[in-house]
Amino acid sequence: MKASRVRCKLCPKECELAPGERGDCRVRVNIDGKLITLVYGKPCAVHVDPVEKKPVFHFLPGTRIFSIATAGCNLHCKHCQNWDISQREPEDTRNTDLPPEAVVRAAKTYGCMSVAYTYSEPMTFFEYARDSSALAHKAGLKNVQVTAGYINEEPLRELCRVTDAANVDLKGFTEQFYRDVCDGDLATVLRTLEIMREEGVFIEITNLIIPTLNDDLTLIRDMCAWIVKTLGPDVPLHFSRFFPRYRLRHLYPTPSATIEAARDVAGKEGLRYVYVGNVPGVDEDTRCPGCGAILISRVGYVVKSNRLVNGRCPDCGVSIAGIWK
Amino acid sequence: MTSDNTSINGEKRSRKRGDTPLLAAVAVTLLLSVAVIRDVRRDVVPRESHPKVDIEKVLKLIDRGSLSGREADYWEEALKP
Repeated sequence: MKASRVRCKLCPKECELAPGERGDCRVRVNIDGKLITLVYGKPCAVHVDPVEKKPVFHFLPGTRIFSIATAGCNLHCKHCQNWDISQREPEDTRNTDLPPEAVVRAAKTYGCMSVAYTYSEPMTFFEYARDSSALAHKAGLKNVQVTAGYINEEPLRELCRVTDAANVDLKGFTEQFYRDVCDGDLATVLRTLEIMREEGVFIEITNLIIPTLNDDLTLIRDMCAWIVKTLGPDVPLHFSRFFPRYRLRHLYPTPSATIEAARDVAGKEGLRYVYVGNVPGVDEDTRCPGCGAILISRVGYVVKSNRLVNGRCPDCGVSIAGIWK
Repeated sequence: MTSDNTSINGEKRSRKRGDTPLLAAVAVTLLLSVAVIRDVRRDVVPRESHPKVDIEKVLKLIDRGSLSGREADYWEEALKP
């Protein structure tokens, strides 16, 4: 029988592949008329990280998180900091044999309370992330997806059922930025955030501010207003400083003043938890939105103190959004 | 830029010594611009373009266990032949 073309239904690109062709994500291949994922149980990056590195700040602070990634990504961001794995075929990375059962076993062995699917793009290694997440839940571990959120609704909802928290990279707030810099689209990512909210996933958002490309404070204000209106004011937002990488090495690092201006804008729009990343000397503490007291004090990825009591401010009793135990 | 070296009021003007480096600079700038544009265009993989895999190599790698072949969960047979 002649092998047929197949259409991948995982992400909005919906690559239609003739036999022997590879999808835009580099990891899904039409072999004899069947769509095969080449990265199931084969991570190319395996680390134990502080959870603050993801970053997720309102999720089991001060704990370790078992972090895995495979080759490939369905976006092609010109500023990707992990392009050496995200923009590579799995045949060209050094992979480890780590099936879902081994992920859970290793996470427990290393004293982790959760598993992160991160570094490259978990939506691209969907089946591996989903099956590992299901087993992790059974073993009492939590799951965090660190993702660009570029996925179709049906698989996303399936993954959400075994996901506790996510850090979604909201890379910009115009379709043009997503099209020209990332090879994706904004509408899909916004829909992903809405679906995660509906499915009860605790969301944090990261916005990397790139000079000249997405540093317009008017757009940053629009983005913050959308977050407050659609997801609520309790979603932690991380503004991250850009450093020249990959195909954007000609740009300069984001000035600290730009990052701080963005933080001020986000606060004025009503977001309660706004953090600044990659800027030395700027605190990343969690403050109580009720009384302003410092609740979680951080230096780099280290938690110096955590004063939360059952997820509440010990001084005024305000409940702080997050997963604390 | 034209090759006409007659000024608007009809006076013939001689080629200035600075013209040649200027022309060279413009040419180099144009060439670099084209190179940059080509580079930017290469960044985005066209949606219709799906590279062929070395299927023998992939199958061998799957057999050897350096890759794990597993049928994906979200796909369908395409309608087009």
